[in-house]
Amino acid sequence: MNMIKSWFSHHDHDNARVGELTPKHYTNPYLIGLLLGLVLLSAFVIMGRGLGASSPLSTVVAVGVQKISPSSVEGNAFYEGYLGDGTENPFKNWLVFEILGLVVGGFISGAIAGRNKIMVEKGPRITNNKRLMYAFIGGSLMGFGAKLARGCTSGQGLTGGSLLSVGGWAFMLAVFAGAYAFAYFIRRQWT
Amino acid sequence: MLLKAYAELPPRKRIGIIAIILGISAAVIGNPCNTTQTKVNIKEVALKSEKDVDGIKVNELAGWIIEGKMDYRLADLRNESSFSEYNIPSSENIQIGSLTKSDLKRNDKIILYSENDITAAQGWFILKAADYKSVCMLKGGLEAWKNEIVFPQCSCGDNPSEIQKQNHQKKEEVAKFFGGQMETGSSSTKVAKKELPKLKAPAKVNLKRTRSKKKREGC
Amino acid sequence: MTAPFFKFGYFNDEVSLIVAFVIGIFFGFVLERGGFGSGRMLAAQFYFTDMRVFKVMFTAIVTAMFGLFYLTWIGYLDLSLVYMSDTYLVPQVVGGLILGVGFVIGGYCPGTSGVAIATGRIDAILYALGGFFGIFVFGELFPWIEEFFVSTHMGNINIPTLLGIDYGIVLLLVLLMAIAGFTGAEWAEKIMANKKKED
Repeated sequence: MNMIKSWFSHHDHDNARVGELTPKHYTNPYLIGLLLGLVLLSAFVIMGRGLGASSPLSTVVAVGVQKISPSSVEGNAFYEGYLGDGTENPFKNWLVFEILGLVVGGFISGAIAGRNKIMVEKGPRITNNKRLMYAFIGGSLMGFGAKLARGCTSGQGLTGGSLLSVGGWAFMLAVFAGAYAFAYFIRRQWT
Repeated sequence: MLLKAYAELPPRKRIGIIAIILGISAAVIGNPCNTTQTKVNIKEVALKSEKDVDGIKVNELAGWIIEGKMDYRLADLRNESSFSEYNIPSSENIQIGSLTKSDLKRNDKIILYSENDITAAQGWFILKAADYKSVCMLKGGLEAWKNEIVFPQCSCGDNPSEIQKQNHQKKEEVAKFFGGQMETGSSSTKVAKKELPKLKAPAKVNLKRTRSKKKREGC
Repeated sequence: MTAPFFKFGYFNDEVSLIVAFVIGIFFGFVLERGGFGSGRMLAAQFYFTDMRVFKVMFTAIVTAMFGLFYLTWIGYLDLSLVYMSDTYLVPQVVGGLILGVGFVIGGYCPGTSGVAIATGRIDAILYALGGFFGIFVFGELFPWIEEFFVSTHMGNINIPTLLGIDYGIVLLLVLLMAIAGFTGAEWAEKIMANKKKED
């Protein structure tokens, strides 16, 4: 247990006052954008597809619902789309493996920078529990919105955006609009 | 002198200038997909023509259709009226002029046929020049299909051998599958114009649906 | 045309899963390097204090866009074989608005929540659970939403086709818009930083 804890070592976040961001320890955003663009491009060139992140979540939900009550999946085109026709394991899916890699990659980067820490991210004016509740609510809205839009910021945003897809760009504008519009009402959580 | 000024700019602005130059050149290029001119690999085309590798026999195609193989795209290059009169099951009507604009993909297994060999060969060249990876021509075209598959000749003499009898049987079954029949022997019937079987609705197979499981490619 | 490699059969499905994993590693690594594993950092975008989300996303989009354009131009990449999902305008806009609100409340988006979970953020775990819940609600309501879900189908359309402008010109316009956006973002950050100093 202590060994695992040491992987999530304490660093920047201890020294920063609660609510203070420490952006100087993060790499230049433009460089990050360039690297991210190259990763995206490599996906296009190697696989002929872009990245994505909301599908694996849907696959988990579909499999879960199927396990718990198989009858409710039948006739529901949404779940069936993720479960396939039963001949293949639904987790044998490109995006599921990509997300697994994403978690590993994030962990490695965090470990190198010493940013791995079991904690709750929040602003100074709010309690941990309230933050967790908001996180859940935000996640639910995200899940619903992502399925309605057929993607999330990685899929429709980055991938659709770089392919100049009309839907992708419309989606991105809507995301920023929605977030900025609501930011005022939730400012106590972050600032 | 310009280069000196460039070197003195902070890295961010330098990248910005390079990006703008690339952007302007992209705007000048306009459309990156080459729809008019392309480079042909003459050697490859000549070699393939010489070795006669890009042809497919009618009975091979008939076998695929009977087996229900769906991994190819069969393109009928004739005009629309001929196509609606009769077409080989599982084929799609594509005019030769719009071959590259159709939804045929470069990684598809494509088979072309026309009334005879010429149009199919022209289509083959166009697609090979546009870098389509797998293109074949139906040898003999629709004529061969008529004469060997739908209305095959009964070629057995008085004392057919076992093998000849089996072949005869197979040809009959195949002909029946495609709505035709075996033609028995004298030269007079060969001259008579044979009417090809009327199209039944299922002949126009909806390829997109029956193709192998479509992988999810969304996000 | 040699690329995309998978579409031309250079390797099979199983290997593509390994490719997915490796690409995912780079994806997650880069995201975390940029600070996207922190909900506070992501939310700061919407308070103008740190515009990193905008900078990273649009730099990435512009980079990939240029890459696609030039690789297609030299005949290396077959752009028609790169998958682009169909546009369903209204559901995507409505979904985007909802996701945007969820983003600023929850502080993450699906990809970044994965990175955040990897670096130990408990709120990201709650966020992901919320995500499952939201998807579940969607799935259950799907029979009623289905009609809306497939409305305003515009097909596989991209901006050059929609506006009738050449691909390259759209590229240049997007680049100029991004540069303008970055300049604006830096200016906004500076103002917020000064404001903070005054507090």
